[in-house]
Amino acid sequence: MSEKDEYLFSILFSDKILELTILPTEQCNFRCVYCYEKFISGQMSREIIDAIKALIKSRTLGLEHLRIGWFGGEPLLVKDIILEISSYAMSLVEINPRLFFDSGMSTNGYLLTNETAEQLISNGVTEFQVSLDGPASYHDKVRLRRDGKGTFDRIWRNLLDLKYSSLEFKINLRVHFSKDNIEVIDNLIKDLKANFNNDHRFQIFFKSIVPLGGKNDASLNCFNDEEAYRVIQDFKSRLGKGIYTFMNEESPYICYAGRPTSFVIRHDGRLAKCTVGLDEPENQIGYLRKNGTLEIDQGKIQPWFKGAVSLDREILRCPRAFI
Amino acid sequence: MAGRSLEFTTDDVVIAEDGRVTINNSEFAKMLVSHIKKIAPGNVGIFDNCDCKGKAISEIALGKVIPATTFRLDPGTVGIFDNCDCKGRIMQGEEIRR
Repeated sequence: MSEKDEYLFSILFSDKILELTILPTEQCNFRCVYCYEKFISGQMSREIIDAIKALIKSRTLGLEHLRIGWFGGEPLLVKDIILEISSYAMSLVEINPRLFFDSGMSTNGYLLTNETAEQLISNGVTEFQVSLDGPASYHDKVRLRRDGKGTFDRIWRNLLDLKYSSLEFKINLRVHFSKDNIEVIDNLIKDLKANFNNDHRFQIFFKSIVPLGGKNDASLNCFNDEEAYRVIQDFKSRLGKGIYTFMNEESPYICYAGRPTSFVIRHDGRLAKCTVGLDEPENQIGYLRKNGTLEIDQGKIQPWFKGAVSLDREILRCPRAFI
Repeated sequence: MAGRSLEFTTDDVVIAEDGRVTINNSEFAKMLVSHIKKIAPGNVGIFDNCDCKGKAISEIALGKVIPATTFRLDPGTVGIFDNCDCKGRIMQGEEIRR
């Protein structure tokens, strides 16, 4: 067994690591044209919130790393739930000083004001992924509010407010591209360089739009993998060195979905492995019981571990593609 | 996997009701434990046996280091060992095998 494989196994199978991706609501204030979600109404119930707290409490003494990722829908629509669970997780560190808790969020950024960010950061949620699809002229055509209005100006204002704050956080700006916006991304890159250069709190990465099951998939004008790779290299060279990019596309990536210690908890307590294809049959791996224990369908969850047992890097990168 | 002599399949991996992983393959589990101990004697964990563990964790807390959800594996590239003085040693294993 190579040293790298040993290291991989130690990460993948360690019972000292628990990673939860929580969807406190699956409703969203946006209707992005390429989105694959169904926008199920409702938010996480008191019963499920308490069950999540019971789950992490039951693991407190043995854990060394608890990671909670917030996803949706738009998680900031139910900020109070995030604050409650995060605050509880932080309190567990007092019980087990060896426990390291960290937390991040995929948010559209529309509600990420300084005040909200400060509340989240003080409760351990320090990392935010915010997506941009180009300058306002293009972004507002594809990342729309539910009422059809644009979103860029408010997101950008929030980002600038955070930049001028003294808060410590990390914002990963995820810049989407396809054949439809390739010509205007350069304008966004110039704006990003002008505003976020040399601020270690902001990092940028580029993500090619791909069909993920949304109703507009057929009309998406996507690059293939090879083309997308070349485009990313070009974008990165235009960004220069003063701005931080955290995605190294040449190094291996292990998706949370393929890690045996990682679980997605939906707003109604259903468990999944992947936040894409939430309603696909193979993603229905069980549910969270009221007492905080997991009812797992072993036959459903085991195929997600193909990469973990083989250490095949392609499967580890996207286990859903091999289910 | 190259260099691995024991059979290990997805059927061997069972998730307990508290989310812990159980490996229902005693031979492989024994081998895994012995190998993991080489990386993290005493306690398996991301920063165990890392001389600058405290610093690395504090860097994560500051949001300067990418946490486990996005970790990279290659030494020298962006990853959980960024800003960690011994990142190369962890991956290359020269010091930790003593």
